[in-house]
Amino acid sequence: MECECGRKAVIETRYNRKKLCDRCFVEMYEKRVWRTIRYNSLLEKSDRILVGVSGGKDSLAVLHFLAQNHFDVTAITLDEGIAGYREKTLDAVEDYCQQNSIPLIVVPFKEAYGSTVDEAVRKGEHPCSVCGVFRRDLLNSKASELGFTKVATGHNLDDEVQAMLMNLLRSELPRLARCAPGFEEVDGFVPRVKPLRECPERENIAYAFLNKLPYSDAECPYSKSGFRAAVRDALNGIEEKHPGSKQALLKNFDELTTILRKEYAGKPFRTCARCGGPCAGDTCKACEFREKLGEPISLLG
Amino acid sequence: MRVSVESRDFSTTVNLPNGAKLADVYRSLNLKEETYLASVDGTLMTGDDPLAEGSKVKLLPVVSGG
Ligand code: SF4
Ligand SMILES: [Zn+2]
Ligand SMILES: [Zn+2]
Repeated sequence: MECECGRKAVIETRYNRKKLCDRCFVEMYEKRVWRTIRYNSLLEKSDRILVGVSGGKDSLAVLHFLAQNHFDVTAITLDEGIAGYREKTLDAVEDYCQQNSIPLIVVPFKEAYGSTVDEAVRKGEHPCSVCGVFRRDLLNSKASELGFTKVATGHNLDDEVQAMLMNLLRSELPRLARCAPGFEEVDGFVPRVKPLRECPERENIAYAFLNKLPYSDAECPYSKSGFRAAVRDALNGIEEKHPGSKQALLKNFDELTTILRKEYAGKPFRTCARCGGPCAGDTCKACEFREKLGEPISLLG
Repeated sequence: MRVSVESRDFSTTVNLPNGAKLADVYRSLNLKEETYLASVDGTLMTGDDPLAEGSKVKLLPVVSGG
């Protein structure tokens, strides 16, 4: 099978009926990421960017793209304390950062919150709720503590449409509004950007493979459970029969969420009474979990 | 011809008729092509690429969690 340029194709992209060679694929991929960055004014060369890196293909792909394009990047890996999972992916991150002289910060949940995700599960919590709250809180607090101007993550097209559909199905419109493209300037939050939000998951693997990124394909043992897996499988089923559906969904969601964001904008954030971080109520979700999980409040921040 | 297949969760050997293509590996293992990317002897390949005796197929699972 051949690429338009005559070289051997390495990947088929069904949504646009193309077969691409390694060079044409990487060119198409990088053009798309640049378009996402420019169109939404996500990043400036003057930004100091903290990149959340799990060691999977998506986060290593975004780190690689930004580093190759001479953005000022520092990697941060959060160790959730999930046995048999994070050890493997941490090795991948350390290898990559060492080879490419990228500074790396590793922060264990246990150190920051006094509890790992595994321990929270043993106390009856849902792993992904605790994990998500701690992760968001820690990325923001580390970034602001260390003077970064942006936080970048490797969220891909699949992650984005899954999250939006989940918010819609759960009637969480304010949360859906926060999925709008670009970023919001909210006091107390370092803006978060997702340069790969238009890249299908499958293409992040191809990009990681072709660039020989040492990513780990270890799967979190908790990822099979829950609502997200159901939404993911449904979307994959639709995409299989109707290629291009995910892109269409993102495009339409982006239009909708941009309107929604205006509707929900201006809700001022308050300051958490415990940690001083930004929050919607009196205390932030991270402090609520920290207290609930029965550990003393650490000296964060 | 015999082809070895390796993935995150399994590794196996499949017997295929001569002239078989990568897509035949998915078919013989009852896997969906969309769910994987595949490298053959270290190079990314697409479904209609031919395989040879002793080819080493590595299936990279697309869906991940975490
Ligand atoms: S799947 Fe695992 S890594 Fe992802 S949010 Fe849930 S617990 Fe955290
Ligand atoms: Zn080409
Ligand atoms: Zn707090």
